[in-house]
Amino acid sequence: MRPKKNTNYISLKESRQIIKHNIKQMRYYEAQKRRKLTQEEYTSVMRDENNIVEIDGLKTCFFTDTGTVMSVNGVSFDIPKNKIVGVVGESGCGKSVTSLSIMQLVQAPQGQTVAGEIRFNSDDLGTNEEGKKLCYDIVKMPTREMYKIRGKDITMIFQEPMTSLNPVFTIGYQLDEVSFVHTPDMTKEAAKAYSIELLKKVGISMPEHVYKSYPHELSGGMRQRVMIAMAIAGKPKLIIADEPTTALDVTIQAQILELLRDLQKQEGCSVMLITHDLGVIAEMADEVVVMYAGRVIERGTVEDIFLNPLHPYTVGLQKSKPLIDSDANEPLYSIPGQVPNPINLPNACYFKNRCNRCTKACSGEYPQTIQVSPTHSVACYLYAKE
Amino acid sequence: MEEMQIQEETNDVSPAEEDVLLRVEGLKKYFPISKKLHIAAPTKAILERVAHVFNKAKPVETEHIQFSTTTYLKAVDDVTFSVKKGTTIGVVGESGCGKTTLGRTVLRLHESDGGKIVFMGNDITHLKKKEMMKYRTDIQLIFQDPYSSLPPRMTVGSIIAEPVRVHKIVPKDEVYNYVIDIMKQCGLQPQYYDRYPHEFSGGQRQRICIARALAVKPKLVICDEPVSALDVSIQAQIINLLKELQRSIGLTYVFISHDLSVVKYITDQILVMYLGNAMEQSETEELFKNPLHPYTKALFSAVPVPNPTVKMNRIILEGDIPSPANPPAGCKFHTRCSHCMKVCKFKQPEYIEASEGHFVACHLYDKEVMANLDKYDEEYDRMEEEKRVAAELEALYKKNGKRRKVRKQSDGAGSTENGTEQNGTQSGEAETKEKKD
Repeated sequence: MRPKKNTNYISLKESRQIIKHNIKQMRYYEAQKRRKLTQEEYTSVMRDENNIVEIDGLKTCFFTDTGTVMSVNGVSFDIPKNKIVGVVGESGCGKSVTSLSIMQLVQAPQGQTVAGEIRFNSDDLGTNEEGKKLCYDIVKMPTREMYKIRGKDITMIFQEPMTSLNPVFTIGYQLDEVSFVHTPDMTKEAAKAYSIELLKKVGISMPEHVYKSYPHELSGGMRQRVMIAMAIAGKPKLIIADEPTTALDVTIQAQILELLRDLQKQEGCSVMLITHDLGVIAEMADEVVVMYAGRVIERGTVEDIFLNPLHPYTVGLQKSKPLIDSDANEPLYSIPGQVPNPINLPNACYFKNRCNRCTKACSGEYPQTIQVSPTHSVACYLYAKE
Repeated sequence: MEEMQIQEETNDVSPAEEDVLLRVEGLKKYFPISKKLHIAAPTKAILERVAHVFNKAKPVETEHIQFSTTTYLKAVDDVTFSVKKGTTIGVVGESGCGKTTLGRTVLRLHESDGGKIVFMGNDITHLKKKEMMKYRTDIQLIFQDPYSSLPPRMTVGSIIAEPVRVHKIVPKDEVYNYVIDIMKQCGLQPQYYDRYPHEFSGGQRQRICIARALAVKPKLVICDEPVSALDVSIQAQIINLLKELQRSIGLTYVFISHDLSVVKYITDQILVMYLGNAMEQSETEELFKNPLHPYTKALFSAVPVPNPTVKMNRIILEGDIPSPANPPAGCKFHTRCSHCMKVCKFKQPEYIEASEGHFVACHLYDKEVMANLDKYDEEYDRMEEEKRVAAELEALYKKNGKRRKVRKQSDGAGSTENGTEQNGTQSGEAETKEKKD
């Protein structure tokens, strides 16, 4: 037998240092959140008024016992009005954390949004002295203010409908609650009528019956429909759908996606669709953001990403998915290696070690985002202009 | 005559045995769902009510009355297939259709309730535990979730070495080198030998699971959704590994999955299941080119295609999959089928061979049924009529029966005043209960 080697563990001394650092950081950011702010401090001006959300250089990190994990490391993209924006990436690439940052729901105190701006286009604020429309900056917003827009203007559909519905209350109670919270002067009867109308809207055949039943009495597809009903209850401007169909069967997935697309058109809201299934993205989205290890590596319209993919990772991702009409005799293309450890990432291209088109330039620092066409941008040295 | 039949059977079996590794015939697996109720001192009204709920079951004892009924959840109902050596069969279906149960029953992790499992020419359906040990090394299983199927307190080396030691695959002093060889074959580096599962990512863990399964030199591997918990780029690695192993060692797979594009890529033939029944079975190429069953068609059209220019002609199925504990009568798919006829509502379709090697369970392809559609329609109408009349009669009887009962009770209370007070209150309680219900 071979002697044992003690590799990839950290020493006790290092561990203590990390914990000390973490406590200091977490206290600082928690104190920041509790500060009293005037409205001017957490409002700013949109770059383009046709966007519903603009994310600029967002950084969200988790202070863990083995080191600081930069889950979202400088992400920037816009969500235009009336569009479906798809976010694709493998697990652990930061797509869910981005969406949670928009909702201010990152698990505190370990998880903190440390830098960047998320500007949310709201109609409630009016204009500033120069006549420009004001908007919220969600990163700086105090929690109390956040209550006003969370669940009303921005809503979220989660992956697992069973864990996000409360098992001890009826569907009706939970749907009415949304109405009561956001319009306090609503009567019980009105709330019930509105809830039943919502259930009808999401295609549930016996809304009165479902209104009275508990979550465990419904099937997975029905529960996801109820979640969608809850999401559209406040007439939102942005719906974040975090892997809404991953837990469902293919035939039910087709139903839910169609419903989501129809509702988006009817309600005229924007949807941020997070998924790892390229097929779902191709079918649903207008614009696509590809993420890898906490960064946006490619961005463009659906046609840009699927017909003319630029980044080697996007190309590899599309090739490695077997298609219904692909040849079964050829070996499937696979990206070698695996996603890098998110702790202490070096300032270089994260995809360097798995890339098959690596050049000398790749050993430099992390590549800048290069605008290839007005709608298409990529972070890769292969497309640098020099 | 009997001798002739036996001879015929043996003749049928022997040439097929040559290359068929696993044959499953009419396999059934039912899970009992039991309802029990124990009443200490029941009154007649309660008894009647309970008997109604328990489907007219008779009480077991008289004093402490126990009611019990058992219904069955038919997880796998009459499934037949066979796999040739070195090929792969894919089992596809929605969640709850019994694909996993089928895999586990073949492995004898569940006892089957009917049918036959023939492995390498030997019937292993009713072997005892010790006799089964011989075959345990030949059939192995790869689980869906690599995070929960590896013991967290054992190192990778000892995980892979354990079955080798137990089944004495190689002499004791060669175990280390043997394990290292297996690890290399599955794309694991030798320095991982002393590491623990938590230090690996999902893809690497799935490789460990595959290495553990291969360590005992199996002939048949049942893959229960081996790639659905993995990322796309890792999925491709694992699929390539499985295909390569099949080419080099000549493994046979039963590949259970719900991802049709993966199944298409890896399998030679496909079995489509719905609510425990086999719906369609054929060679992969043939099935994708020419799907017959309406369910298969809908399933194929629901797969999203990663190309924004392709506009799909979706067949969107309405409604959800019915509960397997209470499946619809007739064809189990008729509640969601777009081609549903009156026959489908009461007659279960037979599993027929529509073209060579292409089996389907649908009335649309049954010539006998399609020729006599009018007759079946009439039969259905008659049955509906009978049902309606029966329901009306039942309702009438219930109405009258209740009135009569009430009158009787009031009579009884009037005639015998002494000593029956307790009984009276009890029946009163029973009545209020009835009203509440």
